[in-house]
Amino acid sequence: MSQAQSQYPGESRESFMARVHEALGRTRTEKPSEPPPQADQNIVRLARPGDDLVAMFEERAKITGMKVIPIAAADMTKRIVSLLEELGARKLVVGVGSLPQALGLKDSLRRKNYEVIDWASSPGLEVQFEADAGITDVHAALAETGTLICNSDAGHSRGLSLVPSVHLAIVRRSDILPDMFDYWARLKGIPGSQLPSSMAFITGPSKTADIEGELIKGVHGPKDVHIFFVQDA
Amino acid sequence: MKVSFFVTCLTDTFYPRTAIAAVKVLEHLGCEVDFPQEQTCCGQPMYNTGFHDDSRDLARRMVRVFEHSDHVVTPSGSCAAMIRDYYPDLLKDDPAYAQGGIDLAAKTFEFIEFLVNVLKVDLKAMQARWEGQVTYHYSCHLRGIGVTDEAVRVMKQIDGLDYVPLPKQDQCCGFGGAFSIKYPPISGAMVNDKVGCIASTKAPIVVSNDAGCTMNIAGACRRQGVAVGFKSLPEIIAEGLGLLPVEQPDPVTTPASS
Amino acid sequence: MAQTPVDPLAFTPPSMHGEHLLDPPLPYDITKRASAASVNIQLQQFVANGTTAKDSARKLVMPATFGEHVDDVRALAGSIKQHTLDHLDYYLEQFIDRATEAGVKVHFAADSKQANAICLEIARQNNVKLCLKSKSMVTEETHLLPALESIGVKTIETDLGEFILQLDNDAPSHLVAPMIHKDRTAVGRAFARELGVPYTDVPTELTQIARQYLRALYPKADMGISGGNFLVAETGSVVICTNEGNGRLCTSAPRIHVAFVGIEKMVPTLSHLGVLLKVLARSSTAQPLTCYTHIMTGPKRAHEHDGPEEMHIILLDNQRTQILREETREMLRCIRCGACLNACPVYRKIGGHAYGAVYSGPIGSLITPMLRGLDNYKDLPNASSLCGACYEACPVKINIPKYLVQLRADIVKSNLGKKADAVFFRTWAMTLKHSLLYRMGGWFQSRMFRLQAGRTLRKGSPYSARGWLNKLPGPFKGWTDQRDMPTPPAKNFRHWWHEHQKSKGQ
Repeated sequence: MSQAQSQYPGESRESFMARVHEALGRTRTEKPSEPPPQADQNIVRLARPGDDLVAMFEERAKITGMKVIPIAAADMTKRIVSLLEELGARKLVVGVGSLPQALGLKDSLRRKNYEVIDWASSPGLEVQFEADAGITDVHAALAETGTLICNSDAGHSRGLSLVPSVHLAIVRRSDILPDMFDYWARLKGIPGSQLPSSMAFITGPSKTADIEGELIKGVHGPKDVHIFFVQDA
Repeated sequence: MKVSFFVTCLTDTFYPRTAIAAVKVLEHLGCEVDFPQEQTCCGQPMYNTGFHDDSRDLARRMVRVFEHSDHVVTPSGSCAAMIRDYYPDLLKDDPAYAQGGIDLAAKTFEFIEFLVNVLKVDLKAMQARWEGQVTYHYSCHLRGIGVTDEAVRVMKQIDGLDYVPLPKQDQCCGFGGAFSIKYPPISGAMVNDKVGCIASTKAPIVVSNDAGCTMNIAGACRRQGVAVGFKSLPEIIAEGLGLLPVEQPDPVTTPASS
Repeated sequence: MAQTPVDPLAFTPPSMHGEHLLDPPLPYDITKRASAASVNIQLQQFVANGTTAKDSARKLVMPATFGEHVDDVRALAGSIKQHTLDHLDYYLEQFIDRATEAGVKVHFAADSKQANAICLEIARQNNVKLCLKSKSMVTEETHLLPALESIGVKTIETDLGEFILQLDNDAPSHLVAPMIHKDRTAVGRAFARELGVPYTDVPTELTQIARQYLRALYPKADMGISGGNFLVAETGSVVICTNEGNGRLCTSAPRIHVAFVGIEKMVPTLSHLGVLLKVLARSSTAQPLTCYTHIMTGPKRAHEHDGPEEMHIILLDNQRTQILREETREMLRCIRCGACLNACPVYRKIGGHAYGAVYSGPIGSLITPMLRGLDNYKDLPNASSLCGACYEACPVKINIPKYLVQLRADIVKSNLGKKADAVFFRTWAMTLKHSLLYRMGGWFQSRMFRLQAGRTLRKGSPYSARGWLNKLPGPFKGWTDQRDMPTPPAKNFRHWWHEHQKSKGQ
């Protein structure tokens, strides 16, 4: 598939690929004669459906420095407010789907006089810099590594789990998948153009050890991640 | 069991007692040991410095010298690694020697590896006894042939041997053949690190099996004034089984300077 | 004279980029820097401690995670990369098509110059004034920063380590921990000087200052630049694995995102990405995953609220197709984890700047000569004891020692080596081909040594008592510069064997 005259400098796809062909000892692109090695093998799978996924997720999330707060669904607003009070957070950005929406989380927060910034009507993520905390749910969570998967879509922006210094993540028991291979399986067959433009696997608060190897949290991204772990959903 | 002994150039000249000990132990364990006289060098120095035509000639020579051997046992881990890891590749394009290279690689063993993994020696059962406090340097090329803690396991089978682990045991001592002569500041920094680790154990004896490593580390200990003695594990085993008289470890100081 | 802190939006980084460090005069001779490094106590301490800690952590975490299958997992990861490289044409084409369908503008850069030119044109077309960068070794390779600055684009590094290096005319010295060589007081001085803040050398305070500065810039940046840890052919995605958050911010806040990625970063599918993710961070820093794995597939969609409007991927060749040839292809498996740097006893002593190139350590010793000319970097494949710690550490099983030796053979074949070496080794090889010559040579050598050893000769067993030399002549003096030389005992093994056979009646 040759490209129309590009308005940018650089090579044409054809001449670029020609060097690749030459290095491989071919004159044109050939489909591989054998399939790639099978990725999803037992030796690399680190969590299985039969494992105690709840305990595993909790333990591994904690090791990365995220805090895990087990709650019942009915207590969600109460527990979140309690933490916000403790943190002294007043301005919030909230991006949640199904369960928290059903529980009316955003409205409850507004009624309790938290300023819930309407980030959706302001393009980009600049306005999210004003928030003290970002509250999101997750698209999935991995027991294998204690990872939160936060993707961008109509109800969730990239910045919610990234810009505010504190990230509150609502994870339901039913969000937890054993291993990342189980997540890839969900995406199988979806063409790239229909995937979210951004999928973020979050495994801990923002960290660095650049200065003399000293571990410091909260470099650019959130300094603290609090996971509200809904046991009964 | 028939064993052909490959002494290696450095061991033959600089540490013959190590080789003598190895042969005595093999014979004591019931092996029929022969020594093909035509052997010279495995060609590793030429291979490592990029003179591959020459190292290929020497590889072919080795294949011929040990053609009729069932097992080839050598006290040098780096020579065993040369043969096992590189001979097949080095000779793969020579139809007359390709199979020979593969065969030689398949039947070549480092001495301690041979004792533990082939002869399955149990020195405790054999009532080996040797008094002394030692620390042990792991020679890099044992990595290449998959030898890990065989030497430590053997030492722990010997009654009276007090084994002290060496910090950063498997960090390279900086010999690397020509490397030690061509890059003195780097090689020197590496061997001095090793000497520091040895000194920190306060052990009076260093067990080092590869002749190159031993020459390097012993020479550095002497230069730094760290008064330790060097012994190879084959010697300890031979002495422990009463096959060789117990000898003072090879000191880095001399009567005149001690 | 009290300083006032510079306003982040008015801040202009210095225009020197540590070029003297990673771009020294060629051909590069390692001696001076290696010698200086080996006596630099602070460097020894920082580099040795940093690398040893990570290496030990990796050695614990990999078996703790994969049990007895560590080697199989590495073999799997290696075979995935190898398969992709063996069919790089197919997967590249797939990637280009999928990425384009997802809305990415894919560019093709034959070399550094073209890569930079493309980026500059994107900046020009979009009237870019402020550009923020996340960590990318490829952009170091192409010298992107000075190029952008030459057309008036203010470009600021956002990775904490890279930001600090940018402020101090310094350069990265490790693939993953760029300022492993730098101490906190140097950071404090650089911040005070360039940012006008009161001096502090407390790491948490320094980090807070950097956070404040850089976060003020994200909403104002016109363009964000990243590298890419992986390209996923099946979806047309670029993946970056980071810890600080600046990578996600650089690729989400500005209107334009430009990713510079070497073609060797390709993997076939998300599933294959998964295998490599499982070994990358564990080999690098002993983490199960980095804090952020960011999988980017095209610019923001219409229904999304943030993210770049335009996403460009600049695919870079720059001699990678030369390395792609069969005899060196394995080198391209590298996933830039840095495990080999952490394992290497040479790197531990001399640090990254001593290699005189963007890519240092064991993998750097292979790809630097390939990328920049073997004649320019002859020392790199040679300054190694071939200990194999790198091969053991590599999560994709690149046989680094084998390729170091292969490059040494290339140096010999192209007559780039020292003539004296050729004479010495070829002559020595000759004596080894004839057992009589060999034995005579050995005998002569032994006698000479023992003569020289003089009074240091010990009395004792003829098979073990020896003497010492503290000076070797001519080309061998490198040995005795650093250590004494033991001399052979009086008799050798062959002599004993002869006696042994006699005593057995043979």
